[in-house]
Amino acid sequence: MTSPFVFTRHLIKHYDTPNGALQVLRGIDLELRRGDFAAIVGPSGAGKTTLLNMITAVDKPTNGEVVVGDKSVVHTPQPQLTKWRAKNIGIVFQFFQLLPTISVVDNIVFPMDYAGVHKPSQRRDYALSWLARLGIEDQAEKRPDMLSGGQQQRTAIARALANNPPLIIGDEPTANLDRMSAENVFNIFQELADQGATVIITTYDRDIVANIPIVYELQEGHLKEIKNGKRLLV
Amino acid sequence: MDTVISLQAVHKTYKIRSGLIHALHGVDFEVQQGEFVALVGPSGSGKSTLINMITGIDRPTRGEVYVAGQRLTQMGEDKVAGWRGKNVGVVFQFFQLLPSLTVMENVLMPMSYAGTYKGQRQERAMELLDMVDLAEVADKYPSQVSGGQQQRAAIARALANDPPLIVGDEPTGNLDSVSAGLMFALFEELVAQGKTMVMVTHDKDLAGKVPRVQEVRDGLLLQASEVDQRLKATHQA
Amino acid sequence: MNRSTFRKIWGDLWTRKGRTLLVSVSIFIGVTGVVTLITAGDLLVKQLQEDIQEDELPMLEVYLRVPSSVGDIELQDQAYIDDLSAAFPDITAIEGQSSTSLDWKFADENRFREAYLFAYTNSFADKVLEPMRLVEGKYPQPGQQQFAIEQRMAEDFDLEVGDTIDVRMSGVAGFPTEQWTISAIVFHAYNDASDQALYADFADAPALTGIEGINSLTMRFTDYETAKTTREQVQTYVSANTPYGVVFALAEDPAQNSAIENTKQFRAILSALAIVAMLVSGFLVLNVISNLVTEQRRQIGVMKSLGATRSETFVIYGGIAVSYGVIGMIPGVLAGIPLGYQMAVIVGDFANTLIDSFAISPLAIVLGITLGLAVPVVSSIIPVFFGTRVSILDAMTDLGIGGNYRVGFVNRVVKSLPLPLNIKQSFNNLTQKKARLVLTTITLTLALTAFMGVSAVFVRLNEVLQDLLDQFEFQVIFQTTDAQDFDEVEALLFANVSGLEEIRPGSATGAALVGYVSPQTETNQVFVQGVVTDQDFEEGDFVEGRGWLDDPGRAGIVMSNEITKQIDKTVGDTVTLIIDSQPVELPIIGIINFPFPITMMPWQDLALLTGDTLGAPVANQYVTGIAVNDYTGTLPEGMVAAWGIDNSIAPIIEMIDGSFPVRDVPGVMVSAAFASNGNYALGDEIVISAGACLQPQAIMPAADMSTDTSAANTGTECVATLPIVGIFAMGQAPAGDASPAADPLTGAVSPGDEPADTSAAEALPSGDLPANEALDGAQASGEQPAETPAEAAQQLPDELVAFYWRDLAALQGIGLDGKPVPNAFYVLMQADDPDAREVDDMIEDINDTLGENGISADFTNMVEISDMAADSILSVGIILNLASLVMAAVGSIGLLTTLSIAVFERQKEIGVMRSVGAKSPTIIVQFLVEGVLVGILAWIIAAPLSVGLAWGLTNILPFGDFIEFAYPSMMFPLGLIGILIIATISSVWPSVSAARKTVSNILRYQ
Repeated sequence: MTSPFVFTRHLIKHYDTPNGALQVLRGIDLELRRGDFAAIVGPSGAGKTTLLNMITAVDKPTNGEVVVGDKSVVHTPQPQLTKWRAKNIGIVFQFFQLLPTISVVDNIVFPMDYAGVHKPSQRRDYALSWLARLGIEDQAEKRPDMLSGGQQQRTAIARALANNPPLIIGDEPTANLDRMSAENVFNIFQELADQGATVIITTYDRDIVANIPIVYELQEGHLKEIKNGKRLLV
Repeated sequence: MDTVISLQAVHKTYKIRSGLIHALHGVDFEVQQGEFVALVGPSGSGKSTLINMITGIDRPTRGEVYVAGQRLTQMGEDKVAGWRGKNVGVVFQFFQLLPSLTVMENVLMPMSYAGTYKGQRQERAMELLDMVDLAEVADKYPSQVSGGQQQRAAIARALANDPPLIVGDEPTGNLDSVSAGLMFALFEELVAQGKTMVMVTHDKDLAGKVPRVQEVRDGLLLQASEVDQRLKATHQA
Repeated sequence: MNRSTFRKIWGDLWTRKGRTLLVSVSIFIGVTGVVTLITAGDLLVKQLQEDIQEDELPMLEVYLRVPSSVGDIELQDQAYIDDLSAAFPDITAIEGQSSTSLDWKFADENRFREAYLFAYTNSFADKVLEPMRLVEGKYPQPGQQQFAIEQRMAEDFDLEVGDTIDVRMSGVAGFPTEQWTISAIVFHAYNDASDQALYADFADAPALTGIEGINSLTMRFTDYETAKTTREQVQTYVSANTPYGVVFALAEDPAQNSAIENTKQFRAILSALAIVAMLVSGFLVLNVISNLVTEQRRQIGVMKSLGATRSETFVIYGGIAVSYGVIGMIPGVLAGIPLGYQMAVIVGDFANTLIDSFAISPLAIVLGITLGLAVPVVSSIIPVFFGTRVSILDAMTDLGIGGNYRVGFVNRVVKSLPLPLNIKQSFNNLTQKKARLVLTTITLTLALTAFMGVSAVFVRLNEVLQDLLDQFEFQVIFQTTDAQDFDEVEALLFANVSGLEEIRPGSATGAALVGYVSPQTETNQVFVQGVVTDQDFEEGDFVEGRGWLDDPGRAGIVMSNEITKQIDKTVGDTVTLIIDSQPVELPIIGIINFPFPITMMPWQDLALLTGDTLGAPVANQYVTGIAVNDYTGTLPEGMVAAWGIDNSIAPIIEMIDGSFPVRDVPGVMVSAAFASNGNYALGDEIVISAGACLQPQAIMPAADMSTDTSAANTGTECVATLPIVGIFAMGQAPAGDASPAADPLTGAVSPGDEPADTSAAEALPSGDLPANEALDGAQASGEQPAETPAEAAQQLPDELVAFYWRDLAALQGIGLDGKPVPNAFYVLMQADDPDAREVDDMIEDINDTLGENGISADFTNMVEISDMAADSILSVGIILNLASLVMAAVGSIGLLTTLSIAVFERQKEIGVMRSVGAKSPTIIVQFLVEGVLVGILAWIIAAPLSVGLAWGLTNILPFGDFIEFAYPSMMFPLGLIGILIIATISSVWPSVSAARKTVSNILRYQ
């Protein structure tokens, strides 16, 4: 058995709101290995995004432990996390968060430049190959606002994968995609998982969930593993 | 019963740099007075666009739109806005209250713009806020109240001019399940009082509680029979 | 830094071209302003420093005039100069100068133009003080009808060496027009009137201008301290030892030449304003960058999640700021260079500085580049520092449109006010982005403060100027070349010229006031104005005392409160004025409110003090008719010639017996011819009747001779019995006489001279002219000055009775002083508020009439001067206001940018409003009101600040000392209107674009 690549121990997160303390995560334990492909489902507002933010070290828990690889992200100061995160975690945000003033391909080169990944002269070609893989290479020179929602989402995915990160986090990564594109993305994630990456996504899409090996449900601040097995054939 | 909404062969095409986006491919849609309709469909299916046609917020590239007796396609932007203020109560998921006005002042807005209920506005606003259980926070600014309260205030505002038609785009999207339930009960109440309600949602559970569900996919309306089958399928899964 | 950094920077600049353009334009404006204004100031100062050499500047200037009472004497300028040099060994250089107006025209013109003729006692090539540079041609030679012309005048009139112009010869009878040639073009940096300057040889000047001698002496001493301390002695010496009277003497330190000092101050003010304008640009940049990082909060969060550290993000936004700087700075510097040069040329024109060749100011360029880059960078540091601090989480959490709304005091107040909803929104929205509000307000406030403050100063200056000029209601001042009787001239003009309302006599001079020190000149010089006591004043003119209101004949002096404050005296106190080295004590009888050191006295009294009298008897030139009992002389009615003399005529007298008559000792000296004809011997007594005691038909009324009643003859005193104390004969005038008055001139004074004064010879045989008048040395207008007394003496009849001249005057009953004559005539036209052109026409008419009667005069068009002065003030005001206009432009752009950003940010709000029924006007009004509210806020703060600025500026400006600080109250509403206009214009575009946002557009963005 390989050791866990991502794990959380008794993760607690609550917020102070005008109406009192809001308990979002009430003690989450999570363990995933390299090569695991997991989905987290649950009702809206349950805290899925919050949980992802803990793992990506975008947010800090109120209490508990989060470890990714050999890094305890809770105990590492933010500035030190910046470059590490860029190299190790690819994030697909719920609302894409593309940089609007640069082209699609430049958006994908961006993290490579700042993480210092790949040889500089190869970065652009590498970005283009990802675009091709996602079927949007003809949009390469356009700015994000000229693309449809689906195309923007695929750009965001390509960007998340540009640095070949060992951990891939996707918040509703296929929400805006049609069936075909969604399947394509799913296949890419599966492929990356097969190659050793750890993939965690949240999703509403039941069709997709059906094909994901590991599924957690987040409800009322607690995490429940509802499936853990090999990929099932539809 | 009167036909409150009538869309006839409505096309909507957006021109962007990389080409054309066809949001609606020739939609025919009719809603009678007193109906409660849910429009469901995945993201990008065109349901939001369709709703925007109904409220006059957007215009079709081709086709005709008749709402509450008005032919919206012939009216200028300002006139549509004026008509909308009196005839349609709009509730959006993200378009909530104006932060620079108090809750009460927000509810006054439609009356102020339309010039209705002169001399009685404050009174009516308080009544509406009372109806949604917000009377105590009338004088507070939106930043001082919770998300659920803001959404309820938005509904009070939508009802300010007693419009015959209420349109919501994911009106419960940002609420927790309890508040969402209360909201929905209010909608049912309004329909029972004779208002017409059209609601967009991607939440299939919610849609299931609405008397009439219309599925939208890829810019077209699916036939009712298809809808029933899919609904049955999900409930069993 | 990596390629993505540059792509992001470029992407931001290119995607929001409008904003890039706006910010860059404001930096461009700022940099252009800096480079232009500093270049202009720099070039001007450098040019002046090149042109004006300290060791060529005089240290003392003494302004002279010949009082008309001096009569016809020879002016020996070179000798006076030599004497002065000898008397004051510390003088290292000295020169006399004559500068007078000259009428000239082109051959094909009808009307004459006015220029100034300059002539110097030193030759042009040898001019040591304030020399000129020969640009082309050769210096004019005497007697050749040649001029040199100053380069700027030559350029204005397109004249070249070899060209001829017509000049009116005011020194020749009949004032003929002659054609003179331009023999040289010179550049004379020291000449303030360079655009109207003609130069002729000193010998030619009197024929051209009708004025003999010099009107100023300039000198340099071993050092300036000596000059200062010697000034009064020099003045006294000149008054005592030359025929000249001293009007005014000014000591100026060459090391602090006022032209250079003033220009340096001007440069400093321009530079300061330019830099402040640039700083205002900085606020705009700060505002925009601040908005930028706020707007891009999410992007900053994303970039951080993608590996950009905080400092790397810092570089991105700093890079955007630098780019704004570069884009604005480069064209700004390039534009500023030629603009600055042009401005220097234009201002130089005003300031009499010729900037002929294109030059740049390295200082201005360096400053422009530095500020153009530094200002945006520095302005962006703080907002970028804070903006990049955002955590990824905060950055990307979308809290809807109301998430961060802070409810404050203003909001609580606003909700209880009965305002329309959209106005409430305007107020409340303004309170939200406090930093942005503060920055925009600061920008606008600075601009408005500068504008109001600078304008206030110039409105005030103009007020003061207008007050000064209003005090003086006359449109024309003229001064006749020779002294003229006022009544005669007045009668002549009224008879021949239409449109005249009034003509007043005036006298004016400079004087020294004991105990007074002028803060401006650091001397005791004050201006003495002769007034018509029964006409020039009315109730309310005096702040203290009554002056001549109750009694026009009262003795005393009126002063301005500028003086009385300094010397701490008031009505009733006595002051001592020294006029032409004569001290006179006068009581103060009134005080007027005036910012200059001015005193007033009855013009007649002043004329007497400055020696501007006509008909005063002059020793040795004084010949009149008397009757001697029992003796029939050769004059009409049997009169005998009486000669009033003093000792200085001694050299040409051969004493036969006895001695000269002595003052106050009864006695006369008779000629040998008289003695023998009358059979008189030494000691005999003769009875003499003179003046009023003469036969009636030989007498002219005393009123013709003198208004001075102090020596009025009562009848019995005009007859006297006097012993003969001496007998003489006329001798030859010896050479080398010590007395200047007796120095013979060998030739004519100027070309075209009449033969030596024939009036004495003519009057004697014919007897038509009243003997007294003709022989009292009065100069008939237009005739040449008489020759020396010695020569005149040769013309006298053989039979003479010589008196001590004062005693003869007493016997004849005429005042020693003669009749006061004005040294200036003030003309008031009937026309209501004539313009400069109409006044010129009047001047032409007056000049024609005077000319026909042999009177030449020098004219000043007061309306033209007042127009020119107003123009100058206006121009300087505009230049200084350029800086504030720059700031206003930048402030306006700032407001526009802020509002545009507000529109962008509040799209969702606009969408909400529209979705519940708001129409375009509602939305437009909301944004307009926001803009206007900011404007009003800026005005509230700017108003008091501008008062402070105006006060400061008034103190700094060179002539500021003369102006009592006052802030024109009209500036307040004017500033408010100005800011409302700016705010409205800046708000219109964003407001309309806000209203044009349809909800569907907004939705599409989401």
